[in-house]
Amino acid sequence: MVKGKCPECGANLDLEDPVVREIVECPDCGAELEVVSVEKNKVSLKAAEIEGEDWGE
Amino acid sequence: MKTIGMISDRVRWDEKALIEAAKRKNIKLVLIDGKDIFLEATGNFDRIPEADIYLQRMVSTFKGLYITKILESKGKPVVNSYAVSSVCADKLLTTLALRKAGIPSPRTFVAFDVDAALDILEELGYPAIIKPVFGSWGRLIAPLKDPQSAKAILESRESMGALYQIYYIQEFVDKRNNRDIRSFVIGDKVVAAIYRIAGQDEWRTNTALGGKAELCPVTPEIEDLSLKAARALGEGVYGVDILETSNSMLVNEVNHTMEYHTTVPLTGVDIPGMLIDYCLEIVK
Repeated sequence: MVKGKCPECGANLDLEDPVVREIVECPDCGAELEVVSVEKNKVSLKAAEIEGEDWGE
Repeated sequence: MKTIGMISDRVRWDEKALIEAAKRKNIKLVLIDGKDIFLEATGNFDRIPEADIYLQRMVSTFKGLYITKILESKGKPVVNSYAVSSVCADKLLTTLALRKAGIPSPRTFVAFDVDAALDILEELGYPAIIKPVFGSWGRLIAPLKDPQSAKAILESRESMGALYQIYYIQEFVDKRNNRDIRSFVIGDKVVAAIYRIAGQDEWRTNTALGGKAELCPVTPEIEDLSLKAARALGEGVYGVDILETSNSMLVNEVNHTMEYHTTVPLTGVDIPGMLIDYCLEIVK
């Protein structure tokens, strides 16, 4: 498990095999977060981009 | 060993499952961030990792389509191909392809002006459905219940982008049990199917809108219709939306960048693994 912190509510997150650009949901506040970088035992997260006009199919 | 390049802008459950499936199968899968790449249209000064085949998983429809088209112009295979994706991405082109192949689908009209759209409704009757020709997850799909609300909804689209003024209007299909069927086609096989049941106070069944999923057996009828729809569009991998009425089945939409985060846990079918195998089969 790799640790991260929700930039929205400050909750601690444990992520399994995180990948850069992965979208995860904060278990506390429900915010959609994007993994920005992955170091050995730590990930940095940012609020995920909101839906674009042509997203989907 | 062959390399698969997975092009994506977000790594959702679906893409993560592809990464894990490749790992399990000992296949080299290169993660490609659609935001990092550039491609030369007039030559080969490209910034994109090399791969034997590319798996297109961009959430942004137009970016995905252009990347696919350019890669194909350079001789690289892409799943799904541009020929397939460009038709699936556009609901009207999909409807025309289905019609050409004689596949039953909901009665559909298109108009380019509010008054003409209202005239369609005189013929089609109320309620009817308006859908943007591009779009997903049920967004901006609206029921047109009577002339007043239809006029209001059509006029609201006038202040939006040009594509929203392509008025794609469909008969309202009274779905049996307020559910529809999503089947998954990989090459020439229907590998799984689920029922999608509309959430409370909702007629759209999209799981993104709170629809619930249930197991759906792949009956001969579902298999036959799904494969016919897939053949109508060409070789590829598809999520086929099927509507059941009291006495028939209609193909509603065909999706080219299928999502399976609901289906895989529910059915236990390894769709990501099958997608990896499908890509490898093409470059064998």
